[in-house]
Amino acid sequence: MIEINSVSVEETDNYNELSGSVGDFRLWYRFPKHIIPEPRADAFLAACLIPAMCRGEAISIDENIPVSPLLLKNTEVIQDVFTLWGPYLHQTLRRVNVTGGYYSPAEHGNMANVAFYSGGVDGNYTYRKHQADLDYLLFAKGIDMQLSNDELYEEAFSRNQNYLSNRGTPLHSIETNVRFLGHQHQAGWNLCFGGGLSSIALAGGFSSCYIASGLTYAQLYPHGSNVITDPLWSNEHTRIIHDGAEKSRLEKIRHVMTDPQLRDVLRVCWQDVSYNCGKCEKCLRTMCSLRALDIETTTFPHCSDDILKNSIAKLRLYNEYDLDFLDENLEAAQKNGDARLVKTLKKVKREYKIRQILKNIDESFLGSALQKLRPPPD
Amino acid sequence: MQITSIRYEQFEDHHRVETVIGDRPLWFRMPGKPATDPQDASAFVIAALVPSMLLGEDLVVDDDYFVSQQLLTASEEIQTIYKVWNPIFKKISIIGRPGTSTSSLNRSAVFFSGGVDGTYTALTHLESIDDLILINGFDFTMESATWSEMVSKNTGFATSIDKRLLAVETNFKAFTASFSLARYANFGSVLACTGQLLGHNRVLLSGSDTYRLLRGIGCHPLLDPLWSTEATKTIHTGLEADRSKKLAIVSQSPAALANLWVCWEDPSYNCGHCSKCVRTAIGLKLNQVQTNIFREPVSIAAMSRSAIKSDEDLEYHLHFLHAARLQHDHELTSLLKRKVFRYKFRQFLKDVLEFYLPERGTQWIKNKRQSTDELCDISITPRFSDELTLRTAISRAAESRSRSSNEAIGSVYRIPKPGVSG
Repeated sequence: MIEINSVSVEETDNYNELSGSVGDFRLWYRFPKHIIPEPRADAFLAACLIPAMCRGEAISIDENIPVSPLLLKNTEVIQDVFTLWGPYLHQTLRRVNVTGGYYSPAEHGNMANVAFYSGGVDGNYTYRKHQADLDYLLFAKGIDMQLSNDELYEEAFSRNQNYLSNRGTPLHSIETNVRFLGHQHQAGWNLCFGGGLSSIALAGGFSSCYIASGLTYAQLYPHGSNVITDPLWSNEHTRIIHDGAEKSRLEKIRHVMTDPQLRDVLRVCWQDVSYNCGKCEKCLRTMCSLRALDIETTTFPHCSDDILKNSIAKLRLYNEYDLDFLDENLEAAQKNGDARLVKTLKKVKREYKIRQILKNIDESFLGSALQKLRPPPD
Repeated sequence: MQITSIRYEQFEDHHRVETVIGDRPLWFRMPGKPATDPQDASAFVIAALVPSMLLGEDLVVDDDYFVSQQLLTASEEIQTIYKVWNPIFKKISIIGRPGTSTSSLNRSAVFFSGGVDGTYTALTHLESIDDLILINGFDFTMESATWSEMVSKNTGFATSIDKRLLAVETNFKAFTASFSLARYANFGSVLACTGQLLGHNRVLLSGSDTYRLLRGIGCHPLLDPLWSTEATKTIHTGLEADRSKKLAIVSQSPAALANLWVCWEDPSYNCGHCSKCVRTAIGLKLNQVQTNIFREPVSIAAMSRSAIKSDEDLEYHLHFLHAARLQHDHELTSLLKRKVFRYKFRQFLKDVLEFYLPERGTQWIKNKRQSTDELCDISITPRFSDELTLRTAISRAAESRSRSSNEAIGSVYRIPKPGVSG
């Protein structure tokens, strides 16, 4: 049983903190002084539902803590979805009971419309699309980079803030340890991040919050944040909007990079070692897109032929959407007449396909013996 | 594309509503009297939107009629989704007077043909639905004898669960085909259009997919709610249960099981040979259900012979495989594993051909498709043939401007002979 209790709001000199106990984990959200959270259970429920399903443990909310009837109702559908997605996500997800709490619709709160922003492709696309409706943007410390990585966070925040201030949109820094709640329950962030990001929006009590889509309507793969489940994390006051599924990643890059100033800002890396490490799958994939579109930035190394040969050719794809991203780059490279990029991407694709058929043989005739020898990718 | 006139005619036991969309007639025969506003063109906007997007023509509604404001707003997102799924669909404008849809009917309904999905929805929503809606001209176009038999059989089932069966007759299937649109491209909008015309507060559309794999398809949890108006809410249901789980619920009701009709080949019985019959037989075997709903019993050998033909079919089989493993049914597990492998291996060979013989290989696949694939019409998944199919459809339309609305669609209603007024 995971118990949600001791939910409180503390106002310090520098920030307002909503915190509460989720089992033996103290979960907290820190906001700038002008954002005053309400001591409700909604954020904690959104944060811990998927981790609880991973553990197969019921959730009990302290009877004195208000909780949204709408969110409670929606947790049933969210559980329908994720129990069916479990096998695909290499995770056993079980239905859990959610009990307790004081039923109280969330009717008041912050009236701001916000979106998450970290300088990446999807966030920039959503920002450009809804700029006129957004009151401010949120850059969450503890989500895109470790809580302890002050130096990198300051650099990224400063670049993002400068870029956005030229466009008249404020950027606010928030902090949370919600990402680590999933880790404690052996639930990877890929699985939890729709609920996790929504929990930040529910904690801040915003009127609406955009979560930028990483996949399109044509890529409705099981994923922690998606167009099916994200809106279900809403309560009566805070509307969670999954946005941008109408454009592919390459289309978004083409669209947002029409702004030359973004060439000094674009950041996609999750590796926490530098602004963009230029070595991880996400950096390399983005560098391929930039090369295929003939776009240079100051935040990525130039995607040279050496990088194609030594790094991109060795990339490993793990799932269908990795393949979709590659296919998009491949098509753009073909249109651009970039034979070296085409050849490299075809090699990566071919290796993925061969691994897939070996996997099928393993599943069909060897009882998945080979797969059991390897830990599943996160 | 224009919607200029909507004509209602009342007869003894039914009413008929007809319009012309572009140059194509679209009509419905429905029981009783109309419950919706005759000036409301929303249902026909729903019917016309996907074809208009295909042709890239704005949809213009005559000033005598209005269109639900809610639908007009949602049409933007509907179009966005269609366009992402298949760029052959273009964004268009709907030019019409906004209004508020109303209905005098305070009832809920589920679309129902006696299949697994509709029966599951009916049984799991017994408390909240009043009517079952059966359509001639949707899956099949049936002549009067077969259609009457089907209505009679399903009326019996509806009565057994204390519901009313509404028999609807339409030329929608022919209307869709006239644009070279595959049925899968717009079948959610067909049902939504029918629901709007009937005027129920809520209509339930039963999905065949689960949350596990949501393919782009014309009846979809993202699309269906967007067809709602102020009067009628369209709800997509059934995503929480796979075929095996649905059959487990259906098989608990002897009346539902006896009424089950799943066959692709013939609307009057379950052949026991087609892929859908075989698939259903596997689901029933997994639920240890002994039944004689198939004209011929489906043997293990027949289950093994029937090949998986699409990703959708693969998904059903993966669910079955999962269930067979859980039940330690070694015979079925082994059979399903072989079928899945055969399908995946064929896919791999196609990929190899495309990789190593990019020109000859893809040409061979295209040739193979043209000779074997009966569903060459434009659907949600983009195909190499879409542009060609669309050009052919446009030129065919230009050649035959006047179209008959007298498709041979059987009826259970007393239809006056030509020249005799209702």
